[in-house]
Amino acid sequence: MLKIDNLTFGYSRKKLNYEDFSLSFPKGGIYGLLGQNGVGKTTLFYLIMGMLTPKKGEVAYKGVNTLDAKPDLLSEMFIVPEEFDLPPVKIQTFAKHLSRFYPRFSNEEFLHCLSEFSLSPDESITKLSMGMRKKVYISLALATNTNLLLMDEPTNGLDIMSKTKFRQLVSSYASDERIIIISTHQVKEVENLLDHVMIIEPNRVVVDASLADIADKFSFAEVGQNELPENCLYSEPSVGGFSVVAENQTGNPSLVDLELLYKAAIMNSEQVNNILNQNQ
Amino acid sequence: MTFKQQYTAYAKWDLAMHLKFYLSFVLVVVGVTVFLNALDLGRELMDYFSPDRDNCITAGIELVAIPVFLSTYFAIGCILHPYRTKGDRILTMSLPVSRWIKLLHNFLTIVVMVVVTAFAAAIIAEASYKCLEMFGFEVSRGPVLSTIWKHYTVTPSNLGVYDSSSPAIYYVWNIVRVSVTYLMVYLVPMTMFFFVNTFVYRGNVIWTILIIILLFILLFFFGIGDNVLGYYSDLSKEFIMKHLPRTILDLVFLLALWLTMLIWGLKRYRYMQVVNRFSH
Repeated sequence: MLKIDNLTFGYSRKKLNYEDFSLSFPKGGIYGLLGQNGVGKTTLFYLIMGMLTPKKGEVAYKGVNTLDAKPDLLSEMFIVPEEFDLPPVKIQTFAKHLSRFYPRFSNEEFLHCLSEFSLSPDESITKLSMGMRKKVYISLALATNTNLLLMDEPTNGLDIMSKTKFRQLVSSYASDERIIIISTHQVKEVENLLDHVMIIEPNRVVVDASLADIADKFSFAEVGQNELPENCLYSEPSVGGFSVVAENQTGNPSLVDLELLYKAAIMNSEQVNNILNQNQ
Repeated sequence: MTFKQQYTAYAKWDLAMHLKFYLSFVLVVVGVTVFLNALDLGRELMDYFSPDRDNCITAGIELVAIPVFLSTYFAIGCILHPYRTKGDRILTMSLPVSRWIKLLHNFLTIVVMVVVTAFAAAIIAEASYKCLEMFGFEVSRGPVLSTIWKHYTVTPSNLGVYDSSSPAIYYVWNIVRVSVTYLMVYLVPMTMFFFVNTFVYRGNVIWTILIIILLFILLFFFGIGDNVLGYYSDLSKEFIMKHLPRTILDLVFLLALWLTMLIWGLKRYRYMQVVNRFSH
Protein backbone atom coordinates (compact mmCIF):
# COMPACT_ATOMS: atom_id res chain seq x y z
CA MET A 1 0.00 0.00 0.00
CA LEU A 2 2.73 2.44 1.01
CA LYS A 3 6.18 1.97 -0.43
CA ILE A 4 9.34 3.97 0.04
CA ASP A 5 11.68 3.10 -2.75
CA ASN A 6 15.42 3.90 -2.87
CA LEU A 7 14.82 7.27 -1.31
CA THR A 8 17.69 9.74 -1.15
CA PHE A 9 17.13 12.97 0.71
CA GLY A 10 19.11 15.55 2.64
CA TYR A 11 18.49 19.11 3.73
CA SER A 12 21.97 19.98 2.58
CA ARG A 13 24.09 18.55 -0.19
CA LYS A 14 26.82 17.48 2.19
CA LYS A 15 24.70 15.58 4.67
CA LEU A 16 22.09 13.16 3.49
CA ASN A 17 19.43 11.99 5.89
CA TYR A 18 18.48 9.10 3.68
CA GLU A 19 20.40 7.41 0.92
CA ASP A 20 18.80 4.63 -1.11
CA PHE A 21 16.44 4.06 1.77
CA SER A 22 13.60 1.62 1.29
CA LEU A 23 10.73 0.65 3.51
CA SER A 24 7.30 -0.74 2.87
CA PHE A 25 4.00 -0.83 4.66
CA PRO A 26 2.29 -3.63 2.76
CA LYS A 27 -0.97 -3.82 4.69
CA GLY A 28 -3.14 -1.91 7.09
CA GLY A 29 -2.32 -1.79 10.78
CA ILE A 30 -0.73 0.35 13.41
CA TYR A 31 2.96 0.83 12.82
CA GLY A 32 5.34 2.24 15.40
CA LEU A 33 8.22 4.22 13.97
CA LEU A 34 11.00 4.47 16.50
CA GLY A 35 14.43 5.98 16.31
CA GLN A 36 16.81 8.32 18.03
CA ASN A 37 16.48 12.10 17.94
CA GLY A 38 17.50 13.50 14.61
CA VAL A 39 17.39 10.17 12.82
CA GLY A 40 14.81 11.59 10.42
CA LYS A 41 11.43 10.25 11.52
CA THR A 42 9.66 13.56 11.04
CA THR A 43 11.49 14.07 7.77
CA LEU A 44 10.29 10.66 6.65
CA PHE A 45 6.73 11.73 7.45
CA TYR A 46 7.11 14.87 5.36
CA LEU A 47 8.56 12.80 2.54
CA ILE A 48 5.65 10.39 2.75
CA MET A 49 3.22 13.31 2.60
CA GLY A 50 5.02 14.67 -0.48
CA MET A 51 5.99 17.86 1.33
CA LEU A 52 9.68 17.41 0.73
CA THR A 53 11.27 16.56 -2.56
CA PRO A 54 13.64 13.61 -2.52
CA LYS A 55 16.83 13.85 -4.52
CA LYS A 56 16.23 10.33 -5.74
CA GLY A 57 13.65 7.61 -5.36
CA GLU A 58 10.00 7.97 -4.50
CA VAL A 59 7.27 7.38 -2.02
CA ALA A 60 4.24 5.73 -3.54
CA TYR A 61 0.89 5.27 -1.88
CA LYS A 62 -1.42 2.89 -3.70
CA GLY A 63 1.03 3.07 -6.58
CA VAL A 64 0.91 6.86 -6.95
CA ASN A 65 3.89 9.06 -6.20
CA THR A 66 2.89 11.22 -3.23
CA LEU A 67 5.07 14.05 -4.53
CA ASP A 68 2.47 14.68 -7.22
CA ALA A 69 0.19 15.93 -4.43
CA LYS A 70 -2.92 14.94 -6.30
CA PRO A 71 -6.00 16.07 -4.37
CA ASP A 72 -7.57 12.62 -4.61
CA LEU A 73 -4.50 11.05 -3.08
CA LEU A 74 -4.08 13.75 -0.44
CA SER A 75 -7.67 13.26 0.66
CA GLU A 76 -6.58 9.74 1.64
CA MET A 77 -3.75 11.00 3.83
CA PHE A 78 -3.58 13.02 7.04
CA ILE A 79 -0.70 14.00 9.25
CA VAL A 80 -0.74 15.02 12.90
CA PRO A 81 2.52 16.93 13.22
CA GLU A 82 4.38 17.29 16.46
CA GLU A 83 4.17 21.06 16.22
CA PHE A 84 1.00 22.51 14.87
CA ASP A 85 -1.14 25.60 14.77
CA LEU A 86 -4.85 25.85 14.90
CA PRO A 87 -6.78 28.95 13.87
CA PRO A 88 -8.46 31.25 16.37
CA VAL A 89 -11.95 29.90 15.75
CA LYS A 90 -14.37 27.56 17.45
CA ILE A 91 -13.54 23.85 17.26
CA GLN A 92 -16.70 23.13 15.30
CA THR A 93 -15.97 25.89 12.78
CA PHE A 94 -12.50 24.53 12.18
CA ALA A 95 -13.87 21.04 11.72
CA LYS A 96 -16.49 22.33 9.29
CA HIS A 97 -13.86 23.95 7.08
CA LEU A 98 -11.56 20.94 7.21
CA SER A 99 -14.34 18.43 6.55
CA ARG A 100 -14.91 19.89 3.06
CA PHE A 101 -11.63 18.39 1.91
CA TYR A 102 -12.09 14.88 3.25
CA PRO A 103 -14.97 13.00 1.66
CA ARG A 104 -15.18 10.43 4.45
CA PHE A 105 -15.08 12.98 7.25
CA SER A 106 -17.53 11.97 9.94
CA ASN A 107 -18.86 14.69 12.18
CA GLU A 108 -20.33 12.03 14.44
CA GLU A 109 -16.95 10.43 14.96
CA PHE A 110 -15.43 13.85 15.50
CA LEU A 111 -17.95 14.69 18.21
CA HIS A 112 -17.44 11.26 19.74
CA CYS A 113 -13.67 11.74 19.90
CA LEU A 114 -14.11 15.20 21.37
CA SER A 115 -16.45 13.94 24.05
CA GLU A 116 -14.03 11.10 24.86
CA PHE A 117 -11.42 13.79 25.41
CA SER A 118 -13.93 15.84 27.45
CA LEU A 119 -14.01 18.69 24.95
CA SER A 120 -16.97 20.61 23.60
CA PRO A 121 -17.19 21.58 19.90
CA ASP A 122 -18.35 25.04 20.92
CA GLU A 123 -15.10 25.87 22.68
CA SER A 124 -12.84 28.44 21.12
CA ILE A 125 -9.48 27.03 20.15
CA THR A 126 -7.63 30.09 21.46
CA LYS A 127 -8.79 29.29 24.96
CA LEU A 128 -7.48 25.74 24.88
CA SER A 129 -4.20 24.56 26.36
CA MET A 130 -1.59 22.91 24.15
CA GLY A 131 -2.64 19.42 25.25
CA MET A 132 -6.30 20.20 24.57
CA ARG A 133 -5.43 21.50 21.11
CA LYS A 134 -3.61 18.26 20.45
CA LYS A 135 -6.75 16.36 21.39
CA VAL A 136 -8.69 18.47 18.89
CA TYR A 137 -6.13 17.70 16.20
CA ILE A 138 -6.18 13.99 16.98
CA SER A 139 -10.00 14.00 16.93
CA LEU A 140 -9.96 15.70 13.55
CA ALA A 141 -7.38 13.28 12.22
CA LEU A 142 -9.43 10.27 13.26
CA ALA A 143 -12.67 11.79 11.97
CA THR A 144 -11.21 12.34 8.48
CA ASN A 145 -11.22 8.56 8.09
CA THR A 146 -8.24 8.68 5.81
CA ASN A 147 -6.57 5.41 5.00
CA LEU A 148 -3.12 6.73 5.74
CA LEU A 149 -2.69 8.49 9.04
CA LEU A 150 0.68 9.71 10.24
CA MET A 151 1.06 10.80 13.84
CA ASP A 152 4.23 12.44 15.06
CA GLU A 153 4.62 12.16 18.82
CA PRO A 154 0.85 12.14 19.32
CA THR A 155 0.94 11.53 23.06
CA ASN A 156 3.24 14.44 23.84
CA GLY A 157 1.38 16.91 26.00
CA LEU A 158 -1.53 14.58 26.77
CA ASP A 159 -2.43 13.84 30.37
CA ILE A 160 -2.53 10.26 31.66
CA MET A 161 -6.26 9.78 31.15
CA SER A 162 -6.10 11.24 27.69
CA LYS A 163 -3.28 8.89 26.72
CA THR A 164 -5.53 5.97 27.62
CA LYS A 165 -8.36 7.51 25.60
CA PHE A 166 -5.98 8.06 22.73
CA ARG A 167 -5.02 4.38 22.68
CA GLN A 168 -8.66 3.33 22.79
CA LEU A 169 -9.66 5.67 20.00
CA VAL A 170 -6.76 4.76 17.73
CA SER A 171 -7.28 1.03 18.21
CA SER A 172 -10.96 1.40 17.37
CA TYR A 173 -10.02 3.40 14.28
CA ALA A 174 -7.59 0.77 12.99
CA SER A 175 -8.61 -1.56 10.22
CA ASP A 176 -7.06 -3.77 7.58
CA GLU A 177 -7.32 -0.97 5.06
CA ARG A 178 -5.82 1.76 7.18
CA ILE A 179 -2.18 2.37 7.76
CA ILE A 180 -1.53 4.29 10.93
CA ILE A 181 2.08 5.21 11.55
CA ILE A 182 2.95 6.54 14.97
CA SER A 183 6.34 8.07 15.52
CA THR A 184 7.18 8.34 19.18
CA HIS A 185 9.80 8.24 21.86
CA GLN A 186 7.21 7.29 24.46
CA VAL A 187 7.22 3.64 23.51
CA LYS A 188 5.61 2.52 26.76
CA GLU A 189 2.57 4.59 25.90
CA VAL A 190 1.90 2.89 22.61
CA GLU A 191 3.39 -0.58 22.87
CA ASN A 192 0.04 -2.25 23.48
CA LEU A 193 -1.36 -0.44 20.48
CA LEU A 194 1.12 -1.39 17.80
CA ASP A 195 0.86 -4.24 15.31
CA HIS A 196 4.23 -3.63 13.77
CA VAL A 197 7.46 -2.01 14.89
CA MET A 198 10.04 -0.22 12.80
CA ILE A 199 13.22 1.02 14.39
CA ILE A 200 15.36 3.16 12.18
CA GLU A 201 18.93 4.29 12.54
CA PRO A 202 20.53 6.84 10.27
CA ASN A 203 19.80 5.59 6.78
CA ARG A 204 18.86 2.04 7.70
CA VAL A 205 16.10 0.01 9.19
CA VAL A 206 17.22 -1.98 12.21
CA VAL A 207 13.92 -3.60 13.06
CA ASP A 208 10.98 -4.10 10.76
CA ALA A 209 8.80 -6.75 12.31
CA SER A 210 5.34 -7.44 13.57
CA LEU A 211 4.83 -7.50 17.31
CA ALA A 212 3.90 -11.16 17.03
CA ASP A 213 7.22 -11.87 15.35
CA ILE A 214 9.09 -9.96 18.01
CA ALA A 215 7.27 -11.83 20.76
CA ASP A 216 8.25 -15.11 19.09
CA LYS A 217 11.89 -14.29 18.50
CA PHE A 218 12.86 -12.36 21.60
CA SER A 219 12.35 -12.94 25.25
CA PHE A 220 11.98 -10.13 27.71
CA ALA A 221 12.48 -10.94 31.35
CA GLU A 222 13.50 -9.80 34.78
CA VAL A 223 16.38 -11.90 36.09
CA GLY A 224 18.41 -12.04 39.28
CA GLN A 225 21.87 -10.60 39.74
CA ASN A 226 23.70 -13.72 38.57
CA GLU A 227 21.20 -15.02 36.07
CA LEU A 228 22.07 -13.06 32.93
CA PRO A 229 21.44 -15.39 29.97
CA GLU A 230 24.32 -16.17 27.61
CA ASN A 231 22.43 -14.99 24.57
CA CYS A 232 21.56 -11.67 26.22
CA LEU A 233 21.28 -8.87 23.69
CA TYR A 234 20.80 -6.08 26.16
CA SER A 235 20.44 -5.77 29.89
CA GLU A 236 19.94 -2.99 32.36
CA PRO A 237 19.77 -2.91 36.14
CA SER A 238 16.31 -3.14 37.63
CA VAL A 239 14.97 -3.36 41.17
CA GLY A 240 15.51 -7.07 41.70
CA GLY A 241 18.39 -7.62 39.30
CA PHE A 242 18.33 -7.03 35.56
CA SER A 243 15.82 -6.42 32.83
CA VAL A 244 17.03 -8.39 29.83
CA VAL A 245 16.20 -9.00 26.25
CA ALA A 246 17.56 -12.13 24.64
CA GLU A 247 16.88 -14.45 21.75
CA ASN A 248 13.78 -16.45 22.52
CA GLN A 249 14.75 -20.10 22.55
CA THR A 250 11.78 -21.40 24.49
CA GLY A 251 9.38 -21.40 21.57
CA ASN A 252 6.78 -19.60 23.68
CA PRO A 253 5.95 -16.01 22.80
CA SER A 254 7.16 -13.47 25.29
CA LEU A 255 5.49 -10.32 26.52
CA VAL A 256 7.17 -7.59 24.49
CA ASP A 257 8.92 -4.73 26.23
CA LEU A 258 9.43 -2.25 23.40
CA GLU A 259 11.73 -0.03 25.37
CA LEU A 260 14.12 -2.91 25.96
CA LEU A 261 13.87 -4.01 22.35
CA TYR A 262 14.61 -0.48 21.22
CA LYS A 263 17.71 -0.29 23.41
CA ALA A 264 18.86 -3.69 22.23
CA ALA A 265 18.35 -2.66 18.62
CA ILE A 266 20.34 0.51 19.06
CA MET A 267 23.17 -1.12 21.04
CA ASN A 268 23.29 -4.42 19.24
CA SER A 269 21.70 -3.82 15.88
CA GLU A 270 23.51 -6.56 13.92
CA GLN A 271 22.47 -9.36 16.22
CA VAL A 272 18.91 -8.11 16.55
CA ASN A 273 18.67 -7.96 12.79
CA ASN A 274 20.10 -11.45 12.37
CA ILE A 275 17.61 -12.92 14.80
CA LEU A 276 14.73 -11.20 13.04
CA ASN A 277 15.89 -12.40 9.66
CA GLN A 278 16.16 -16.04 10.75
CA ASN A 279 13.58 -18.33 9.16
CA GLN A 280 12.14 -15.55 7.04
CA MET B 1 -14.41 18.04 -6.34
CA THR B 2 -14.68 20.43 -9.25
CA PHE B 3 -12.29 23.33 -9.67
CA LYS B 4 -14.89 25.78 -8.34
CA GLN B 5 -15.71 23.62 -5.33
CA GLN B 6 -12.02 23.18 -4.54
CA TYR B 7 -11.35 26.88 -4.89
CA THR B 8 -14.33 27.87 -2.74
CA ALA B 9 -13.40 25.38 -0.04
CA TYR B 10 -9.79 26.50 -0.06
CA ALA B 11 -10.67 30.22 0.01
CA LYS B 12 -13.07 29.73 2.90
CA TRP B 13 -10.49 27.67 4.67
CA ASP B 14 -7.79 30.27 4.11
CA LEU B 15 -9.94 33.13 5.34
CA ALA B 16 -11.03 31.22 8.41
CA MET B 17 -7.44 30.33 9.18
CA HIS B 18 -5.70 33.59 8.32
CA LEU B 19 -8.11 36.51 8.34
CA LYS B 20 -6.67 37.93 11.56
CA PHE B 21 -3.17 37.54 10.19
CA TYR B 22 -4.06 39.33 6.96
CA LEU B 23 -5.66 42.21 8.83
CA SER B 24 -2.74 42.57 11.21
CA PHE B 25 -0.41 42.44 8.22
CA VAL B 26 -2.19 45.38 6.58
CA LEU B 27 -2.16 47.28 9.86
CA VAL B 28 1.56 46.69 10.35
CA VAL B 29 2.41 47.84 6.83
CA VAL B 30 0.26 50.94 7.19
CA GLY B 31 1.78 51.59 10.62
CA VAL B 32 5.32 51.31 9.29
CA THR B 33 4.34 53.62 6.46
CA VAL B 34 2.96 56.25 8.81
CA PHE B 35 6.14 56.11 10.86
CA LEU B 36 8.36 56.43 7.83
CA ASN B 37 6.22 59.16 6.38
CA ALA B 38 6.48 61.13 9.59
CA LEU B 39 10.25 61.14 9.02
CA ASP B 40 9.80 62.09 5.40
CA LEU B 41 7.36 64.87 6.24
CA GLY B 42 9.86 66.21 8.74
CA ARG B 43 12.45 66.26 5.98
CA GLU B 44 10.13 68.05 3.60
CA LEU B 45 9.14 70.55 6.25
CA MET B 46 12.81 71.35 6.76
CA ASP B 47 13.03 72.00 3.04
CA TYR B 48 9.96 74.15 3.19
CA PHE B 49 11.60 76.43 5.67
CA SER B 50 15.00 76.40 3.98
CA PRO B 51 16.14 79.54 2.07
CA ASP B 52 15.93 77.89 -1.38
CA ARG B 53 12.48 76.44 -0.74
CA ASP B 54 10.00 75.88 -3.50
CA ASN B 55 7.17 76.80 -1.15
CA CYS B 56 5.51 73.52 -1.81
CA ILE B 57 5.40 70.31 0.17
CA THR B 58 5.58 67.27 -2.07
CA ALA B 59 5.86 64.86 0.78
CA GLY B 60 3.47 62.04 1.10
CA ILE B 61 4.46 60.08 -1.95
CA GLU B 62 5.99 57.41 0.25
CA LEU B 63 2.57 56.97 1.74
CA VAL B 64 1.53 55.35 -1.47
CA ALA B 65 4.76 53.98 -2.84
CA ILE B 66 6.11 52.34 0.29
CA PRO B 67 3.04 50.29 1.14
CA VAL B 68 2.70 49.13 -2.41
CA PHE B 69 6.26 47.90 -2.50
CA LEU B 70 6.32 46.65 1.06
CA SER B 71 3.02 44.89 0.95
CA THR B 72 3.81 43.28 -2.36
CA TYR B 73 7.06 41.99 -1.04
CA PHE B 74 5.77 40.91 2.33
CA ALA B 75 2.66 39.40 0.88
CA ILE B 76 4.69 37.30 -1.52
CA GLY B 77 7.13 36.49 1.23
CA CYS B 78 4.44 35.67 3.73
CA ILE B 79 2.06 33.71 1.63
CA LEU B 80 4.28 31.89 -0.81
CA HIS B 81 7.43 31.72 1.24
CA PRO B 82 8.14 31.26 4.88
CA TYR B 83 6.02 33.46 7.09
CA ARG B 84 3.51 30.97 8.15
CA THR B 85 4.37 28.79 11.07
CA LYS B 86 5.56 25.28 10.56
CA GLY B 87 2.32 23.72 11.74
CA ASP B 88 0.22 26.03 9.63
CA ARG B 89 2.35 25.32 6.62
CA ILE B 90 2.13 21.56 7.11
CA LEU B 91 -1.63 21.69 7.43
CA THR B 92 -2.00 23.90 4.36
CA MET B 93 0.36 21.82 2.27
CA SER B 94 -1.35 18.59 3.18
CA LEU B 95 -4.81 19.86 2.25
CA PRO B 96 -6.18 17.89 -0.67
CA VAL B 97 -6.42 20.83 -3.03
CA SER B 98 -4.64 21.22 -6.33
CA ARG B 99 -1.36 23.11 -6.11
CA TRP B 100 -2.57 25.41 -8.86
CA ILE B 101 -5.61 26.39 -6.86
CA LYS B 102 -3.45 27.12 -3.84
CA LEU B 103 -1.13 29.24 -5.99
CA LEU B 104 -3.99 31.05 -7.70
CA HIS B 105 -5.66 31.84 -4.41
CA ASN B 106 -2.41 33.02 -2.85
CA PHE B 107 -1.76 35.25 -5.84
CA LEU B 108 -5.23 36.77 -5.66
CA THR B 109 -4.77 37.28 -1.93
CA ILE B 110 -1.56 39.19 -2.63
CA VAL B 111 -3.32 41.40 -5.15
CA VAL B 112 -6.18 42.13 -2.77
CA MET B 113 -3.81 42.86 0.11
CA VAL B 114 -1.67 45.20 -1.96
CA VAL B 115 -4.72 47.08 -3.16
CA VAL B 116 -6.23 47.29 0.32
CA THR B 117 -2.94 48.45 1.81
CA ALA B 118 -2.37 51.00 -0.93
CA PHE B 119 -5.86 52.39 -0.47
CA ALA B 120 -5.43 52.56 3.28
CA ALA B 121 -2.16 54.39 2.74
CA ALA B 122 -3.70 56.73 0.17
CA ILE B 123 -6.43 57.64 2.65
CA ILE B 124 -3.78 58.39 5.26
CA ALA B 125 -1.88 60.44 2.69
CA GLU B 126 -4.97 62.47 1.94
CA ALA B 127 -5.56 62.99 5.66
CA SER B 128 -1.95 64.17 6.07
CA TYR B 129 -2.36 66.67 3.22
CA LYS B 130 -5.54 68.01 4.77
CA CYS B 131 -3.81 68.45 8.10
CA LEU B 132 -0.94 70.32 6.48
CA GLU B 133 -3.36 72.55 4.62
CA MET B 134 -5.20 73.24 7.82
CA PHE B 135 -1.95 74.56 9.21
CA GLY B 136 -1.61 76.84 6.23
CA PHE B 137 0.95 74.96 4.14
CA GLU B 138 0.77 74.84 0.39
CA VAL B 139 0.67 71.18 -0.56
CA SER B 140 1.34 69.66 -3.95
CA ARG B 141 -0.96 66.73 -4.45
CA GLY B 142 -3.40 65.08 -6.74
CA PRO B 143 -4.91 61.72 -7.47
CA VAL B 144 -2.66 58.83 -6.56
CA LEU B 145 -1.51 58.05 -10.09
CA SER B 146 -0.75 61.64 -11.05
CA THR B 147 1.08 62.09 -7.76
CA ILE B 148 3.29 59.14 -8.57
CA TRP B 149 3.79 60.39 -12.10
CA LYS B 150 4.71 63.81 -10.80
CA HIS B 151 7.16 62.29 -8.40
CA TYR B 152 8.95 60.40 -11.12
CA THR B 153 9.09 63.36 -13.47
CA VAL B 154 10.10 66.14 -11.15
CA THR B 155 10.63 69.40 -12.94
CA PRO B 156 13.93 71.23 -12.50
CA SER B 157 12.21 73.96 -10.57
CA ASN B 158 11.23 71.49 -7.91
CA LEU B 159 14.83 70.93 -7.02
CA GLY B 160 15.94 74.39 -7.87
CA VAL B 161 19.62 73.56 -7.97
CA TYR B 162 19.85 72.16 -11.47
CA ASP B 163 20.83 73.99 -14.56
CA SER B 164 17.77 73.62 -16.76
CA SER B 165 19.57 74.50 -19.96
CA SER B 166 19.61 70.83 -20.98
CA PRO B 167 16.15 69.65 -19.92
CA ALA B 168 16.26 66.35 -21.83
CA ILE B 169 19.44 65.20 -20.12
CA TYR B 170 18.08 66.47 -16.85
CA TYR B 171 14.84 64.51 -17.19
CA VAL B 172 16.66 61.31 -18.06
CA TRP B 173 19.07 61.80 -15.22
CA ASN B 174 16.29 62.54 -12.81
CA ILE B 175 14.29 59.50 -13.79
CA VAL B 176 17.37 57.32 -13.45
CA ARG B 177 18.18 58.88 -10.10
CA VAL B 178 14.72 58.41 -8.67
CA SER B 179 14.46 54.90 -10.07
CA VAL B 180 17.78 53.92 -8.57
CA THR B 181 16.73 55.49 -5.30
CA TYR B 182 13.63 53.38 -5.24
CA LEU B 183 15.51 50.31 -6.25
CA MET B 184 17.93 50.85 -3.41
CA VAL B 185 15.30 51.83 -0.91
CA TYR B 186 12.97 48.95 -1.66
CA LEU B 187 14.85 46.23 -3.41
CA VAL B 188 17.95 46.13 -1.26
CA PRO B 189 16.07 45.63 1.99
CA MET B 190 13.99 43.00 0.26
CA THR B 191 17.10 41.23 -0.88
CA MET B 192 18.53 41.55 2.58
CA PHE B 193 15.39 40.08 4.03
CA PHE B 194 15.69 37.08 1.75
CA PHE B 195 19.37 36.67 2.56
CA VAL B 196 18.67 36.85 6.26
CA ASN B 197 15.94 34.25 5.87
CA THR B 198 18.07 31.94 3.89
CA PHE B 199 21.44 32.23 5.55
CA VAL B 200 20.30 32.52 9.14
CA TYR B 201 18.21 29.42 8.74
CA ARG B 202 20.99 27.47 7.16
CA GLY B 203 23.26 28.32 10.03
CA ASN B 204 25.56 30.56 8.04
CA VAL B 205 25.66 33.23 10.70
CA ILE B 206 28.94 34.70 9.46
CA TRP B 207 27.54 35.08 5.97
CA THR B 208 24.43 36.67 7.36
CA ILE B 209 26.40 39.22 9.35
CA LEU B 210 28.72 39.94 6.41
CA ILE B 211 25.80 40.50 4.09
CA ILE B 212 24.07 42.79 6.54
CA ILE B 213 27.25 44.83 7.04
CA LEU B 214 27.84 45.00 3.29
CA LEU B 215 24.32 46.17 2.64
CA PHE B 216 24.52 48.79 5.36
CA ILE B 217 27.75 50.09 3.86
CA LEU B 218 26.02 50.27 0.49
CA LEU B 219 23.12 52.07 2.08
CA PHE B 220 25.41 54.54 3.78
CA PHE B 221 27.30 55.42 0.65
CA PHE B 222 24.21 55.47 -1.43
CA GLY B 223 22.42 57.70 1.04
CA ILE B 224 25.21 60.22 0.86
CA GLY B 225 25.79 59.75 -2.85
CA ASP B 226 22.13 60.19 -3.62
CA ASN B 227 22.01 63.43 -1.74
CA VAL B 228 25.20 64.77 -3.21
CA LEU B 229 24.24 63.85 -6.76
CA GLY B 230 20.58 64.59 -6.39
CA TYR B 231 20.52 67.79 -4.50
CA TYR B 232 23.90 69.41 -4.57
CA SER B 233 25.27 70.99 -7.66
CA ASP B 234 27.85 72.77 -5.62
CA LEU B 235 30.10 70.64 -3.49
CA SER B 236 31.43 73.57 -1.52
CA LYS B 237 31.70 73.18 2.21
CA GLU B 238 29.06 75.83 2.84
CA PHE B 239 26.57 74.16 0.53
CA ILE B 240 27.11 70.74 2.05
CA MET B 241 26.88 72.12 5.58
CA LYS B 242 23.66 73.85 4.70
CA HIS B 243 22.16 70.61 3.43
CA LEU B 244 23.69 68.35 6.03
CA PRO B 245 20.56 68.18 8.20
CA ARG B 246 18.59 66.92 5.23
CA THR B 247 21.24 64.36 4.39
CA ILE B 248 21.20 63.11 7.94
CA LEU B 249 17.42 62.88 7.91
CA ASP B 250 17.61 60.98 4.63
CA LEU B 251 19.94 58.51 6.23
CA VAL B 252 17.74 58.20 9.30
CA PHE B 253 14.81 57.59 7.01
CA LEU B 254 16.61 54.86 5.11
CA LEU B 255 18.11 53.32 8.22
CA ALA B 256 14.71 53.24 9.88
CA LEU B 257 13.32 51.43 6.87
CA TRP B 258 16.17 48.99 6.83
CA LEU B 259 16.13 48.35 10.55
CA THR B 260 12.42 47.70 10.42
CA MET B 261 13.08 45.12 7.74
CA LEU B 262 15.95 43.60 9.65
CA ILE B 263 14.11 43.38 12.96
CA TRP B 264 11.11 41.90 11.23
CA GLY B 265 13.33 39.45 9.43
CA LEU B 266 15.12 38.34 12.56
CA LYS B 267 11.89 38.10 14.51
CA ARG B 268 10.61 35.70 11.94
CA TYR B 269 13.73 33.58 12.31
CA ARG B 270 12.09 31.34 14.88
CA TYR B 271 9.35 30.40 12.46
CA MET B 272 11.62 30.11 9.51
CA GLN B 273 13.93 27.52 10.93
CA VAL B 274 11.82 24.62 9.87
CA VAL B 275 9.40 26.24 7.50
CA ASN B 276 12.17 27.07 5.11
CA ARG B 277 12.85 23.41 4.64
CA PHE B 278 9.80 23.27 2.47
CA SER B 279 11.21 25.78 0.09
CA HIS B 280 14.12 23.52 -0.82
